[in-house]
This record gives sequence, C-alpha cells and structure tokens, in this order.
Amino acid sequence: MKTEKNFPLVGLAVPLFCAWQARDLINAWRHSPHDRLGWLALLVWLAPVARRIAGKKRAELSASFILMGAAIGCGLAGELTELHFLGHVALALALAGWLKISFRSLAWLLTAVAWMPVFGWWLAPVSEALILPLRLALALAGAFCVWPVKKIES
Amino acid sequence: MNSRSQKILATGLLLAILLALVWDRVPLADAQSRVTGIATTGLGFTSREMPLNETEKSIFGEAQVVKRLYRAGREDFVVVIIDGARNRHAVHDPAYCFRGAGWTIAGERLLAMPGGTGKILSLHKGNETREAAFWFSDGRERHAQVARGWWQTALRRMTFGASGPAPVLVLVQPLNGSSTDWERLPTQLPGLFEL
Repeated sequence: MKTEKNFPLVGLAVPLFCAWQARDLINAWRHSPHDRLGWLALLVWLAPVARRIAGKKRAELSASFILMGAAIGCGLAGELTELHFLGHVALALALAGWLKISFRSLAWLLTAVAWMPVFGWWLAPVSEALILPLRLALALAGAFCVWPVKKIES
Repeated sequence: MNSRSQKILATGLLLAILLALVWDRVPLADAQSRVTGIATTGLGFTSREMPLNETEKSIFGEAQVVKRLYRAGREDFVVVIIDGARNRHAVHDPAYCFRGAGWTIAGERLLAMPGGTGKILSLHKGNETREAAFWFSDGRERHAQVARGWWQTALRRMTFGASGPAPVLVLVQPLNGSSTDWERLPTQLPGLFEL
C-alpha cells in the first residue's frame, strides 16, 4: 500500500531513538511542579515541523543529515553520561532535522528549551504559576521565527 | 538527503543503539556499604528508620536510599542519604526539590566541614521557617556544587566507575526550625562525615 508521504526511514528512526532517550520527559511533565504541562510548549514549538511535513509533497521531504547526525551523537552522549538534558537536546535536534537549516531555524531550535525540564530548573526561583506561560511564550516566539509568512503584494 | 547519507546515518544509529544497550548493562560499583554502614546509634545520638512514601519510592527507583530520624542531644534531624549509582536521576538539586515542595529559598550559606564544604539553605513557607544542609561526598571530599556532582557521576558512568568512588548526596533537615548550630553537626553526628 502506498502512503501519501514517503518519509526516509532513517529520518523517522532518529527522532524515535531520541524520543526513547528523552522518555523521562513524560515523568517530569506529570510529576514535577515546575515542568507540569510542558508538553503543551512542545506542541506549540513543534507546529512548524508539523506544518512542513503536512504541506510538502513526498518528493520534497528531506531530513537534515547534519542535524540528524548531531541528534544521534547527542542522544548517545546522554545515554553514556546519564544526563537527561543531552537526551532532550538530541530530541530537539532530531525534530529540527525536518526543517531547513537557517538562522531562523537555529533561533527556533534554541527556543526548544521551552519544553525542557532545564527551563523549569533555571526558573525555579520564579513563581510556579508563571513558568507555563513563559514556556508557551518562548515556544510561540520560536514557532513564529520559522513560520512562513506570505509577502503582501503591493 | 541522498541514499549515501541515509546509510551513514542508519549505521550511526545502529551503533548508537548497540552502545547504549551495552552501556546500560554494565553495572557500576555503588556506595551501598558506605550508605547502609552509617551508625544508627552512638555516643550522644540514637536513630530510627523512616519509611519512604510512595512519591519518594517512585523518584528514587533503584537508587540506594537511607532515610532516618536522628536524635542528637535535644535536636531531631531527618537525614536522607542517596547513592545514585544505580539511578543517577534520583539525585536532584535539593534547592529545586524544596521549591517544588512549595518552599522559598530565602538564603544560602556555606558550611565548613571535614573534607570540604556543604551548603545550608534557609527555607520559608507561609509563617514556617526551616533550614536544611546538604553536600555531596565521595568518601574523601565534600562539596555542595550540584553541577560538580553531575559531572562526577557522568564521568563515573563514562569510565565504568574508574574515575572514583560513587558520590552520595547527604541531606540533613533539623526539625526545630532555624536554631540549629550547624558547626556542631560533625561532633553531634560524626557518621555523616565518614560517608
């Protein structure tokens, strides 16, 4: 059976590997008061990738070799050192691999901290009630960085 | 991405999965004997075990944890010792955990102790004021730098334990508010400084 989209297998396998390495996120989002509902920030942050995959024809879909390679390296480093943060970065790199590399996409990549527990750790002195809005605002700002804007014809 | 790039990535991914599986299977020497060997009674102090609650059990997982109530003189201390060799993620920044439990960190100061320094946190929640001290110990050196603790455990993991003994996190919470004379702790509970 042919599918409408033809994803390169490795382009799917790398994010899956990284998602497995970052599975602690679920625990953090469920139990840590500073990280609660962080998955909402991930959904917002991920919107440009979803839009690109949904909007492209199968022949145009391609993942970045550099970012996918960096994701594998980072995920492995996270496993060897048992540092969750590296696993989270690996997942961000693997997901970012589906966008074209540009200054804007790199800026968007940096805003991935919005859904990571490290963001809650940095903002630990801030009121818990403020952390989720800050996460969402940062994820939204990142998504706007790479969201395609149609030029207005004069 | 051309097919050659895809092959390189696929090979890298397989190698990473294999390495991750192998690494995970290699057991690390833990600090179990140090943690469980701490004196329960001694000159001027007694103690009793405190059971872990369900949340603590789920957080600590396979980590070796001792939670004990010590009485030294007229003072009561809750002592938690965590050896994260079997579950490094059981060891958190205590300041972060206290904030998560609703406490505000009003201040922190260093505590000189044999083999290095610990840290004393001043905690506030509503009208309640408390203090807690913590430090990491590998049996020889003591410090209260969370990033250094992470680095120590990461290095141990990468070298299969060759970089040094397992560091343990020691957390001491007096139950009498903020009137503890911390300088006396090494004489009140000397076992904590032999870990």
